[in-house]
Amino acid sequence: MLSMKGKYGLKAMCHLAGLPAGSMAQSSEIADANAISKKFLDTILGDLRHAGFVHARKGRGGGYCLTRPAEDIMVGHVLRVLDGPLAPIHCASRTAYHRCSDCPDENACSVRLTMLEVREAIASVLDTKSVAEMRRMAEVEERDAAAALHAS
Amino acid sequence: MTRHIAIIGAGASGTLLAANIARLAQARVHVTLVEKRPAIGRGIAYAPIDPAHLLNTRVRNMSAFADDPDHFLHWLKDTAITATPDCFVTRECYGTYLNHILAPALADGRVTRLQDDCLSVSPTDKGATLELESGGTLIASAAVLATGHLLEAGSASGLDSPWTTPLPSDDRARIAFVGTGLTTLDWVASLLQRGHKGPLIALSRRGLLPQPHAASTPLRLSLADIPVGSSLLFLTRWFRSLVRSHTARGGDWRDVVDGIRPHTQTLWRHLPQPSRRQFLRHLATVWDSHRHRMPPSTAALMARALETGQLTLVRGAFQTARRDEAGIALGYRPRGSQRSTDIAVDLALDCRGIRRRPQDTATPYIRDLLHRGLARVDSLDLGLCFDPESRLCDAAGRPHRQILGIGPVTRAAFWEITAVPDIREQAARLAKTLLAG
Repeated sequence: MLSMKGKYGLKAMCHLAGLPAGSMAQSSEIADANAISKKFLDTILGDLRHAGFVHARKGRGGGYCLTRPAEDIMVGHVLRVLDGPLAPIHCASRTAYHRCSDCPDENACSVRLTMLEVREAIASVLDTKSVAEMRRMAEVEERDAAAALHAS
Repeated sequence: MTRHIAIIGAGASGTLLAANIARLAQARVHVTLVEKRPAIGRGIAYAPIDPAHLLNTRVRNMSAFADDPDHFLHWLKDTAITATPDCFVTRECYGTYLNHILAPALADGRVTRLQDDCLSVSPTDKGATLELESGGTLIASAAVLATGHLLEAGSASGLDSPWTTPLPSDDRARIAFVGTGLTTLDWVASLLQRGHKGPLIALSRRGLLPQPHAASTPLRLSLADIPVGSSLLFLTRWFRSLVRSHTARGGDWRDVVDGIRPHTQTLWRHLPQPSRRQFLRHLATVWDSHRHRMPPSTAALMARALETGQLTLVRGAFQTARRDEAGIALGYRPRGSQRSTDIAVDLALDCRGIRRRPQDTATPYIRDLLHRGLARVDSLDLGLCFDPESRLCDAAGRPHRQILGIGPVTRAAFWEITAVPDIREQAARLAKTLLAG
């Protein structure tokens, strides 16, 4: 399940992917551009730093940047760090397992077994889509929308 | 037109690939196995100096075919060898199995073997050409490097090779091992079983012996559970906390290590380069000692030898081995000390494992590929560069269409590609690719 944390984290990664090489962005700047609370974003950026996706530098000219090319960071990498195991429902994970309060026997739950399969599919999509591609997708959409507006 | 596939090397990797191709192919494909040794399936792993050496993997995981996991077990039964899925049989026996799986294809001519050494491989428009030591040339639609571990020539270190040196006849000989992994244990076990009386010294930086095997029920981890792509630090913390929570629930750490096993190649592929470097520098030995475990019978033997004092573990960094009339002076720097020291032994064996500088390899055609820019060594010095489809990459990183690799020679691309369970998967994939052209 995509949490707010995961969603904002991906937006921040996208933002950083658009920076010119060698430059950094401050968290207030990312927060403003994506309408995220700065306090929440700081926690998220802290997690991303711990997992080795972003560098942080203090002081003037400081801020955040990606540790490696956005082509090499997959959406699935980021989400696992922020939201834990990829799973459409909580019980469909073997490591961060939470059973449903209304479930008599999770081993025989057909919904759970199906969702265990679903997450393999989720992983295969999210582990092949890079942050760079995610950003490009948004840019293409934006251009198309602008063109449509212009044509009408 | 018949496709002709040349496999260079008929150790376990080459044999597994040839057998997997023969199993899939109807007609129109011919395989030549080029091997300078007289026997098939007898590389470092399955040509033991002592026929009593055991596999370190259970019977249930050793089938040659990924889609027929009980194949080895059935063969053992048919051959009237007593075995259970959980037992450990000898390396010698597995070598015989490798010969057996290839026998039908050798008999009906789908596979031929050529006892020769390959000197060079060149890509051509239609495939690849091999120059052989005998002076001959082999023209193939595709060539597969199955050379195994890229080991250096002779013993620049002054140590002897544990894979070719025969067991000493003098049962009072003082023997030193550099390295405390499974190779050392194989030797120690052989010596003890033969009633060796001389002292045995095993030297390594940390003095870590492999962990013993025990009954394990691997965690059924999915890739969705594992934080691929994150830094080594994050990954290690995640892994340790998983082990803690699993053992707190009454499980065994082996369940977690074995649960990760099916995903190690993917983990490696997504691991950032600085993390790979850190792993090799700081964690690989610890991981290996948990991942490459010893059979329980070996563990019992070691415990006894350590107790009686016949076997000593020395922590320190190996430096030199100097030979004189009296024997060998093994120079090392004890852990935590600045000063070097010597021990006098009669035989010193190089059991430091299989990760060596690939540039120093003794294999002539690999040297030639590197020299001509047709191959390159990866930035971590693990081995030659291959793409994810196991195609060899040239100096500029471009994959050759018809030159591929199988087994340990492809380590730089996959990391975990030493054991049969991994190599047979790769063999099945390559067999399909090669037959499709």
